[in-house]
Amino acid sequence: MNGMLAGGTVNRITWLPGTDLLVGTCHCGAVAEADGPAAMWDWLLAHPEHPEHPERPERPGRPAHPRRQERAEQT
Amino acid sequence: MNFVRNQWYVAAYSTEVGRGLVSRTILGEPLALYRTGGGRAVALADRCVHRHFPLSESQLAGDTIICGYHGFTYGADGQCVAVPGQQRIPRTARVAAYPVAERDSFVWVWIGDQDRADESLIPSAPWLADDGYTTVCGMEPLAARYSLLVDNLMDLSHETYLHGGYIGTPEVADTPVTTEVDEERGVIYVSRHMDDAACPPFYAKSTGIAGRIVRWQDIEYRPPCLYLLHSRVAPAGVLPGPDGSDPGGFHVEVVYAITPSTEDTTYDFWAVARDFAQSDQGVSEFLHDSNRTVVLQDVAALNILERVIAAEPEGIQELSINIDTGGLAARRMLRQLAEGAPRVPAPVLG
Repeated sequence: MNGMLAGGTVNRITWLPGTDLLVGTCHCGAVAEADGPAAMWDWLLAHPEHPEHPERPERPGRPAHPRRQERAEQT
Repeated sequence: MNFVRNQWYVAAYSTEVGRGLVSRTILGEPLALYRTGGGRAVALADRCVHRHFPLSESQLAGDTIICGYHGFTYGADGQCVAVPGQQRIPRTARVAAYPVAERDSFVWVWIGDQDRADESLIPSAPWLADDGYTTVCGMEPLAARYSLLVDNLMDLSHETYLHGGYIGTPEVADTPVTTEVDEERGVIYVSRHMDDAACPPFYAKSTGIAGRIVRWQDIEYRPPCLYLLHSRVAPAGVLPGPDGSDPGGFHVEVVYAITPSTEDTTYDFWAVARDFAQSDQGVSEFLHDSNRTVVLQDVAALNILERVIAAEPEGIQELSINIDTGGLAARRMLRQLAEGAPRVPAPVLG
C-alpha cells in the first residue's frame, strides 16, 4: 500500500533503502534528499521555489544537487 | 494553545447519549448531551444562563432540561421556555445549541462558527458500523494536551518500547516508513510494511497465527480529530492477490478520535474493528482488554510528558529524526487549520 495518496497536491517522503537519508518528492515532480524530516519538509514546502541545496550530506556517487523530474502524471 | 475550532469533533459514542444527561467539555466549552424522545442527539451549553449551574447536573423532562438549581427550563434548541415565579421569559434567556451529527457510531459536534458546520466535512470510519466487522471500543481521559496524543499516534515506533508484550516488536522501530501528505484534502498517510516480523500477542492470540508474519501498518490521519490505522497481518509470505483480494489476510481497523477537552486534557476515544473471528466473544474480550491496556500505557506516558512540558520554559528545543516525519507533518497541518486553512472533503482510503 505504499504510495496510497493520489491527489494533485501530494508530497511524499520515503526512506532511502540502506541509508538514514530521506527522499522527498514534491507534487510538481521535484526530488531532493535530506538527512532529517525538518529539512526535508522545509524543502518540499518551499514549492515552487525549492532551494537548490536542501540540508543533505554529500555522498560519493550521488548528485550534489536535488534532481528535478518531469511533473508526474496526475490521476 | 490554539484550538482548531471550525472542525467536527467526536463528543461521545452514540450509545452513551440517551435519555439521560452526559457532561463533556470540548475545546473548553462545557456541553450537556442528551437524546430527544424522537431520537435526536442534542448538545447544549452546560451552563444555565441564570447562575451558571450545570445543566448536565439537572433533570431531563421530555425534551427539555429543567435546571436543578432554580428551574429555568430549556428546549432542545437551547431556548428557555420557562423561568420560575414569572410569566415573562427574558429575551436573552437561551443557551447555545451546538450542531450535532451521528456517524459511524460517533456523536460529532461542531464548536466553531455555526454557519460553517458542513456535515460533508465529517471524516468517515465506516468499519465501526459495518456488519462485516466486529468492533470493541472505549474512551480514556488524558491529562495531557491533544497534540501529545497526535505525536504519539503518528509515530508507531514507540510500540516497540512502550507496548512491548502487547503490540510492540523490534521490527516496528526498525522498519522505515513512507510519509505522504495531501495538502489540499488534509490527509497524512504514514505507511510501514514489515514483510517478516515477529507476531505480537495482540495478533497471535486473536488470529491464531503461529510464527512470523507480514505486518502492514498504514496510518491515515485526518486532522484534527480522526486517526485511522489500517492494520493487516498474515502468515509470513501471504500477500494480497493481484486483483486486491486478500483472503489470507487479517484486517484490523484501529480508530482513534482525538478530542481536545481543555488546553491540557483530551478525550482519547479508541476502537478496534476486525474482519475475523467476528462472533468469537473471547477474541472480543481479549482485544478490548489488550487495546485498553495499550491505551492506558500511552495515557500514563503522556500524562507524565504533559507535566514535564508544562514545567519547562518556553523555547526548549526538541530533536526530530526520521521517525518523526509524519508527526511533523501533522503538527504543521494542525497549525494551518488553527489559522483557518480551508479543507475539501476526501473519501476514506481504506
